[in-house]
Amino acid sequence: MHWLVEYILSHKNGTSFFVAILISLMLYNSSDTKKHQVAQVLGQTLFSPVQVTINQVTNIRNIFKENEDLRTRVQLLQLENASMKDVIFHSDELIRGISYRDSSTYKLISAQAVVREPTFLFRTIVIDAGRSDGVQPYMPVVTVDGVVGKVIRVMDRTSLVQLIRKPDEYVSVIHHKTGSVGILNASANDKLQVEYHKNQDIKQGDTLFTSGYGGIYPPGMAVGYVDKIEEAQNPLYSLVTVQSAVDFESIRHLFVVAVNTQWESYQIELDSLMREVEE
Amino acid sequence: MRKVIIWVFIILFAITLQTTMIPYLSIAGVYPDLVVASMMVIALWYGRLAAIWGGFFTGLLLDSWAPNQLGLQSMALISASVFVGLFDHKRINSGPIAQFFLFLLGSVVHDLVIFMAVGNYGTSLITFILGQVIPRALFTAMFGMAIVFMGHQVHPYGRR
Repeated sequence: MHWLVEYILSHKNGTSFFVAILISLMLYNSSDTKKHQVAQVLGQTLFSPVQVTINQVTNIRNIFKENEDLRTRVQLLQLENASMKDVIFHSDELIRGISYRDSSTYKLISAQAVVREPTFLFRTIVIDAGRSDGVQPYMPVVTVDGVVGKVIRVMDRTSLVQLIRKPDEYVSVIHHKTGSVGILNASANDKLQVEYHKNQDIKQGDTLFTSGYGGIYPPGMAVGYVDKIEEAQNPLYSLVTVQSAVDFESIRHLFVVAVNTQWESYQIELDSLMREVEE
Repeated sequence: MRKVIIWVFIILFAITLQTTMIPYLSIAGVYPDLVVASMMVIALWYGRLAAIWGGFFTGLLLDSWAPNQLGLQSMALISASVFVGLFDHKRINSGPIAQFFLFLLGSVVHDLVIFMAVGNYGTSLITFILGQVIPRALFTAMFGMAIVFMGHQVHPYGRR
């Protein structure tokens, strides 16, 4: 037996060739039933790793495809989610708006902001309500939160609204606790500011409302909150910086307050003055 | 182990191509046998022992799909690859032309083994050799050379 092992080891190639050919011949000359049985066993045992590998490769390919499909689906769902959030946000805003309109003592014309200046700090917006909706020049524009500005130009279906943060816009405001009235105006650095007499007890966080004295805005509409109190140039006064009650960046649903300006009698004169200024 | 993985990869790749794309390369009904070409290349690179067992198991794998001829492809592939393995790189540093003729003859050996075993192609041996075996052998040898060339680009002989 020892010599046989030695012979096989020293003639690996010849022995392998002989064995492999012998097995092949035996398989080839066996009966069809036997061949099928052997093929089945080979398929299940010897070549199963190959089949498993092929199956795994197929699975991996399916996983890649599935991954791609899922990625597309996630993107679609993200888009859908964003759209739903937008709908929810605006529906909340609309519900608040409807309740505000119903409880208001003034006639309110609903509108939406459709265009705004293409600048970082825009000062005018265009709304989708115009003359045909009953909008007139100088009508105040508000949101549920407070005063936005006033209508300065009216077209048939749209109107141009000047925001209160425009430097040449002046709003008469009142501090309800003290009853003191001031003129709110946007400074050069776009902060809403108002001067009050120093002896008035005005604190940070207090709300300022329209006084109704300006002739444009009816009384009692929120304008903003006291943000900072500083020394004014005039030592008798304090310079109050006001944080607007309205977030101008997210304005969408608005109301035009259908009140005629108290300056109506001076309307023609004002219009002619405006034309002169424009020319 | 690394060598075996390379053989398995080459053979599986060859079988995949043979069963999918190669038939489209048919010219007048003759197309190359990429599995035979791959086995002969393995024999040339790795020697007779690799040729014998590689040919045996590849043949069994092919035959297990059509069990009526079980053992036939094994014998044919062993014969072809052992023939090429006689002139492997460890023994003879053959040039491209010699390699081409080795592959040509190896492919002829493969087909002749099958012809002798089956024995009935409805034609004479001479007609079969001239009309089928030689054209296929030329085609197969060209593919074999292409594999050798690609292998040489990936790994020079000394590192394989």
